[in-house]
Amino acid sequence: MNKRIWRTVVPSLMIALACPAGEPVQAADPLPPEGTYRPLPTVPPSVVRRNDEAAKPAVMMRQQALLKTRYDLSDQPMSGVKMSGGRKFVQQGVRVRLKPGTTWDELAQLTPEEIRERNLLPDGFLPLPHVKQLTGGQVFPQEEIDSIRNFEQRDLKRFDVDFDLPAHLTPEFPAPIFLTTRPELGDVSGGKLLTIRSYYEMMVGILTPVQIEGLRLLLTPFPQEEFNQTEDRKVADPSLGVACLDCHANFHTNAAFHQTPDVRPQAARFRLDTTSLRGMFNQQIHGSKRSLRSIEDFTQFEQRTAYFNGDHVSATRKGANLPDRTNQVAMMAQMQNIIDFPPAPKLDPMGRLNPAKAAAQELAGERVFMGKGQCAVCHAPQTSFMDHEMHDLHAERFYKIGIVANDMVELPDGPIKTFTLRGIKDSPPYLHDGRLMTLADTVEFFSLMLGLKLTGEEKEQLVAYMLTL
Amino acid sequence: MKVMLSLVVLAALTGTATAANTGNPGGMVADTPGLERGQPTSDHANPQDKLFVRQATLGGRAEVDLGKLAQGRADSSPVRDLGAKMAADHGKANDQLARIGRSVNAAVPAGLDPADAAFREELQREKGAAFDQRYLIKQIGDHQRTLNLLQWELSFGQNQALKDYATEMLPTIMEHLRMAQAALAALTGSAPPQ
Repeated sequence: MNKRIWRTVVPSLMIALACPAGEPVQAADPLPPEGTYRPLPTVPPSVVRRNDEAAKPAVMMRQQALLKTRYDLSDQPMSGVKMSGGRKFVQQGVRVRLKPGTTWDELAQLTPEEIRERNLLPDGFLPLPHVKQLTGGQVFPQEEIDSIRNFEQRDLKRFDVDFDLPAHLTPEFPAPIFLTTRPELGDVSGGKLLTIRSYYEMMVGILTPVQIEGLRLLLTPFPQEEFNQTEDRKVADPSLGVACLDCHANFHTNAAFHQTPDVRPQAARFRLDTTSLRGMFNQQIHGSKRSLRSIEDFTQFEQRTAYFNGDHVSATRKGANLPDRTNQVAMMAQMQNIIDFPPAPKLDPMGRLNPAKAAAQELAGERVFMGKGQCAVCHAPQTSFMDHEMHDLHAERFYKIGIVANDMVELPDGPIKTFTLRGIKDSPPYLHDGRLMTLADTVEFFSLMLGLKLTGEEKEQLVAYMLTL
Repeated sequence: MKVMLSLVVLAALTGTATAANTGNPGGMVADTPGLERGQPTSDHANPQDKLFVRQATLGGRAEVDLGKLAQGRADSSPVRDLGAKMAADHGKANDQLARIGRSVNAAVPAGLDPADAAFREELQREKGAAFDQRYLIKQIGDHQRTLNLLQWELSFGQNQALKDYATEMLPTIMEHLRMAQAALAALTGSAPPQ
């Protein structure tokens, strides 16, 4: 190494790493610990609750104001198109609001830099804040809260926040359940919700003993950051906790949301929309950011992540459940691995549209999907419309980072896992944080992000195609 | 119309007199006026606010001091310009923080932080491209640190004026970081920012 570099670069790098013998390093003060770790409460729970309840109307109104600025949240069902259980209409139309004086076609002609400098990116394409960003935690839709209260007498209602999206923009509830082991049966839910009280009668004779035991564990509540027995909780009475299927209701999603466990500080954590567990048997990486390599790893570690924000210290205090890897985790994983996608009768075994069954618009959509739209580069039909990779869209090319929206810092998302598109009409809202309300929104988003310059007709064809998946 | 109405109500609810929005109960201070009534004042400061004023003030001082040094001593004109910009921007921000932070009564030691003073001495001994490189590497580290400090204040602070300050500063500091990274890339051939 040349002497000059040795003298200049290396010491500055080494200061942070190690103390050279003899001379003490003059290190700057580290960042405060609660940037990473959850601090203990400093005031009594009754006072916390009083303050949270008093603040709640303003918190909810602020979030509603942000949502209304970003989206058209109105109920616009797509005529004749329902989700797989036939219980809810799919919503139509682009819901992200354009900035005044702009059109989608005009935006498509601008470079990312021009859109960023002129602040023209629709706000609905920005990361979506949690309803109460600085507190975060799991928030359940009202249907889930009501059902669990009725069937289990367990309280999932928080005293500080409510769910923030209207019910017509969330998945049908309860969702149908399809099993890879019993495809001939079709939906085995009978229109009912799997709960710790209902599962046995619903599934005995259909599942194996280990699958039933896995299911029981997935429905058993365990302490969680906001739902537990300590003074640091957001539910009125000491709580038994939450179950895996409180969010992944009937192994699908009920649009319950949370924040990523993988980012700190709190203001930087992005929102997480619950992922469907359908098609788990084909998925090779797990978690939007963590890229865990098996559903067993994911199931095991969710007790520290979904449950405790990736803070194992807090988990230990509030009552971490540590499922036995070779016994319990294996059974939970086996149960998750038999959840199938909903039927897609227009698709052939290779995941391509059968021309004899598909409409002309749908076939045209598939051509866009495979070609100009570049969708199939990641959402490959032959591998269940995913690629087992994480990708970075660099959406931040289009906006200035560091702007704060409802206490969340709008930052780059970084690489995010490719999600499957099988059964995609069943799982709004879209993207990892649920920032897009309809399939039409996703088409506009990717058209802009990838510079596709899709025509109006091509966009409609893509939506028609995705409805067949 | 509905949106307008809710925005008006929202403004009324979140005006200066309203509750501080502290996320985690660990960020609440028991002696906050109004806490027992569920109406905590937003101008009270918790320990995080005080620590933030201390750390941000010391960091800002170093930015101005080192910026001036770089403005006069850097080898290349982009780095001299960057130094001048840092001195000017952080000088302004420091004044603003001093005004807001006065009511918080944070204990802030006089002069440069010892770690920054030690670095300054080392930097002064450098010349040419080596000076520029060491200054830029320090700038990158300091701005990364400041970004995290601002977000930490936003996450756990209680004083609304300080949180507003953190909100206002974040995009600027992000921009500074990119500028320093781009300057280092130009100087050394390291990977430029995305």
